Amino acid sequence: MHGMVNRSIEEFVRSTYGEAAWQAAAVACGADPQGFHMLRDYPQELTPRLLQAAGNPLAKTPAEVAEDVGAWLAGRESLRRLLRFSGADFAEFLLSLPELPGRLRMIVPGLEMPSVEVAGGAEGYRITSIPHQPLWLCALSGMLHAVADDYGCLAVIVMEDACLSVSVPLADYAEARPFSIGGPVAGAA
Amino acid sequence: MTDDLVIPAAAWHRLMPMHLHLDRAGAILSAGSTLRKLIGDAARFADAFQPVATGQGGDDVAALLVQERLFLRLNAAPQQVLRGRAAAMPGGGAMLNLGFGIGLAEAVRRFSLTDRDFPPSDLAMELLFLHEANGAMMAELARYNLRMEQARLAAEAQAFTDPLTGLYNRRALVTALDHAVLAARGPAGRPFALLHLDLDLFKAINDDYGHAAGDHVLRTVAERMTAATRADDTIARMGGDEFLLLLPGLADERQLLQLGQRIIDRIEAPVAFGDASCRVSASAGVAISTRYVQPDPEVMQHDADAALYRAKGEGRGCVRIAPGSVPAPLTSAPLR
Repeated sequence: MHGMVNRSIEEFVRSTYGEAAWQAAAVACGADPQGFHMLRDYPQELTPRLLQAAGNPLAKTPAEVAEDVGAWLAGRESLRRLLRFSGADFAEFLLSLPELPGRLRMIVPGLEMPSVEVAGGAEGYRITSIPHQPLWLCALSGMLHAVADDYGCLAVIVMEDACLSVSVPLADYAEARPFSIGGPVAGAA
Repeated sequence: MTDDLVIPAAAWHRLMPMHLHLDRAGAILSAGSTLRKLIGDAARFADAFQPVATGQGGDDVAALLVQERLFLRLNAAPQQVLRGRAAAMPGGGAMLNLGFGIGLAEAVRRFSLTDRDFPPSDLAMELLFLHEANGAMMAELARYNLRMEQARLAAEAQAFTDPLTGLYNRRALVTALDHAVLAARGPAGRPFALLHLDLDLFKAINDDYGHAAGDHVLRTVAERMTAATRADDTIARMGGDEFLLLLPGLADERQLLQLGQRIIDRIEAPVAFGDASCRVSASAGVAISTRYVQPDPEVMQHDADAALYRAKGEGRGCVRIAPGSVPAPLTSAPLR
């Protein structure tokens, strides 16, 4: 697994639960408590172990932690902005999800993600990952929650057997957070 | 027949928001919605643009048609150069399709453009995305590099520090001595002295009061040596009760004897440990770089050590200077 993924989880644990929680999780899953290297490859099985270790003290499952990580990532200003480049509204964003792995690879060569497929339309979307990777879909679900909030949408996102089901009962639920493609809006929160 | 295909004006607008339709005299017949944000309500080509190649304005539409690549400076914002191509239209006019090139990010900010201003076929959004992602990645890498640099400095400091006293250790002294030897070479070189100091009566402290007292005495001696020397002197604990001081710029024998004696005097002041008052002394031997034709770290360390043993043999609590291989200058004080 690309170091960037593990490093994101590390940063999430550090900033959400504190340095001590990170140290404990790192020791529990056999990772270096000093932290992950961003540009190094790690064994595939380390990531689920890390999610498990991070969730244990809070009685959270790896799936729940993955979802929290996704939401946390999407809320970080630099990443939030990058995600907003994908569409002018939430529906456009959902339909452009298949481009997401390609976009990630364009920024970080070697960052391999499962491909994403989106089916359906305004009445409801079904999002699958190929190959099916439940933890990745959980992270995506957390991210979609955060992005929907950002667009000011009320979205219902449900993890089903092998897919995410997304419906948008209210597209203009709240005011969207400011976004301009030219750069951060002055005074934006 | 495709040659005579007529494209309705609405189609131009939908497909090419950066198009510009001119008549043969340079009057603007139609401009795309994005381009209008850039040129305002300009009615003529010359009002809006200046071709970069010619460097002069004008409405010479025929000249636009012959170039493979047009570079047009915006009159409203001369820093901004658009690029594109013109094609002849029936009746003598020209159709231009323009783009932003590398000035895209700036143009987006300047004219408050949004994703609706670019057709889906345009790579503008991808370029802006990359521009932004690149900035974010660079910031992340810079943070990461800073963290690594701090870790490296901390590890290096640890590797060069004697944990008990906080002085430098043998490894640090060897490195500093190598540097000092290099700096001392040549006629313009900077001389230095190497002072080897060993505590007297220290074993009795450990025996009489225990190792905690011994450690306390060593720490106190370290503080007193630091206080008696300059900031750019290197003081290292070589192990046990043995210290080496590297003193850059010092080659005068009298000064060195005075400095050595001052350090010894300070070390001899009693050290309080609980109810006990611990007393130690010290002896020192000095090697001076100017006493050698070609100073060598090992030879100087050996000679300083030999001078130290002479000091111990001649009554302790005193300083001796190693003779070296070059006679002492006449201005120096005689050995005591």
